[in-house]
Amino acid sequence: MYRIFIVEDDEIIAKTVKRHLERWDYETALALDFSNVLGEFLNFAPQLVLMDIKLPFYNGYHWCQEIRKISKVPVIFLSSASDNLNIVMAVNMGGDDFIPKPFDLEVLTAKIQAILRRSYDFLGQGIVIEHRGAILNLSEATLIYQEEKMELTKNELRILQVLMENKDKVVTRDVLMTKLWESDSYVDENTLSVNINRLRKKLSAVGLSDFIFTKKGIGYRLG
Amino acid sequence: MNFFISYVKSNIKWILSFLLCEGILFTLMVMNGNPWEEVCYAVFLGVFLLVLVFFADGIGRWKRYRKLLEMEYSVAFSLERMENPQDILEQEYQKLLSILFEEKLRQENGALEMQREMREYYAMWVHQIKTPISALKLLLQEKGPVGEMEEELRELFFIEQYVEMVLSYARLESETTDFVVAPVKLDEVIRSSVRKYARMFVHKKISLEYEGTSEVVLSDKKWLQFVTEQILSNAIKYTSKGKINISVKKEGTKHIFLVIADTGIGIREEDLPRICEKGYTGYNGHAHRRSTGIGLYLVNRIRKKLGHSLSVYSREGEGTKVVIGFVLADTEE
Repeated sequence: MYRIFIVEDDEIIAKTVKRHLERWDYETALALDFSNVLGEFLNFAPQLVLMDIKLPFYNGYHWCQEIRKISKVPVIFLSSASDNLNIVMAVNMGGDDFIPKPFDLEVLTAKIQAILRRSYDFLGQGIVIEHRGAILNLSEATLIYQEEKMELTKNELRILQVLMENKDKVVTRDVLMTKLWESDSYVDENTLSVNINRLRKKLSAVGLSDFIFTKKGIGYRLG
Repeated sequence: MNFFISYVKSNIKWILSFLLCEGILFTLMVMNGNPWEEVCYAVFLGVFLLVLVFFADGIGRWKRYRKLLEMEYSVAFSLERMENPQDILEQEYQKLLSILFEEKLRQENGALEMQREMREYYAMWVHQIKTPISALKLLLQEKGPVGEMEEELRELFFIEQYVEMVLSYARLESETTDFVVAPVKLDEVIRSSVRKYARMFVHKKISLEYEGTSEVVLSDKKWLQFVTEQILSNAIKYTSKGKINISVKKEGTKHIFLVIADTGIGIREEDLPRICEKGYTGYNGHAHRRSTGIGLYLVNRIRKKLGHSLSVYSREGEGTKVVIGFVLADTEE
């Protein structure tokens, strides 16, 4: 389990990000004493740092430089000041990535996963989500169920990912479509239905029937 | 000629006095019984002197007049080229000028300072407001990851867009704003603009036709992104059903055009020439509550700074086509 250190002085943002990352099984800690971020960093020994730029006492660039003196741990900057200058500064100060505020929780997790994989996960087993014994491998775009492995198209992967990330909830068709659009697949209502049906057939072929339920007029839910 | 008339007019009392003296001299000499030759000679001598004096003086005045005319071009920037005053009146006029000039400078600096402060405050405010927006967005996403909070998120998205516009507006006014022109991959800009508006496309059930492009153009990525987002936002705003088509067309080896066409309500012919004016909303503006007449105005100003062309074609009820023209980046290293 990776440890992520969150240096953000806005309580709501810090706590929401913390809750979200904990749902993804990361161990997290919030910086509490902004005059001693380095001390807390050393105590927690994280594998990744999320760093706001505007902080009390010293700014995020300062702490990033301090961390860089003793560690190569990846640092992702979060900031509302997203002009070119700030992004260049962030990279110069040793930051690994820059996420402009306001951001999507999904974008945040995706970037964290990508950077963690690049920095630590040399074996490349990738990021996986599990449901009813089916294992979705996001990095390989495959689903493994009872020793059987099937390749997924980009859309199928995205649909399964969204559904599996929200296991006990009904995901509306609009949300699914928006997620697909956000990954550059400009589908319409019909294409979504076609995609879902094809995915269902694929799933039942490996014995996963009733994996995706339809909530009429609303959307879909995992079975 | 103007100068001549004005010169004579301002010296008329001297000329008349002189002529009066000549008349007295003439009368006295005639009454005295002087011979005609002597009378004529005396009068002629007098008139000759008069002409000589006024000619010399007039030339001097003429030169000063020319100098003043020339100063019309420079007086707004500096009073340095002013002649030495010839009398106490000129001296006082010059003094008044310098008082006005200094007052003007003071007011100018004051206004500039105020503008700068305003801009700084805008920029600060934008960053300030982004923190609660971010917090709210995270809370909404957490509460409704699967669609229960779509309406709230959509409204928040509008707030985000408007805040971005304020920031761009303030930055555009600032003379320190940098435009970093470099090769930009058009595809990346288009796709990330669409990603941003994905929620709007899906909500309004508008489909998108775009086949991708590998073209690279010379532009500033961040500003170009703002331009495409604004155009896309308009296209979505004024299209209630149908589709938006994004295509990239090459012309010759140097020019490339980004075309964003929608099947929306279009723009009235009489409104078309004025759509880039600040605050102009036209007929569509009356019918649409979210029009402010700022979006296209900003687009037009930014694209001018970037050196891109912009043309808008539209037919009411059929749709609108916006074309941005670029110079192709030299892809050879």
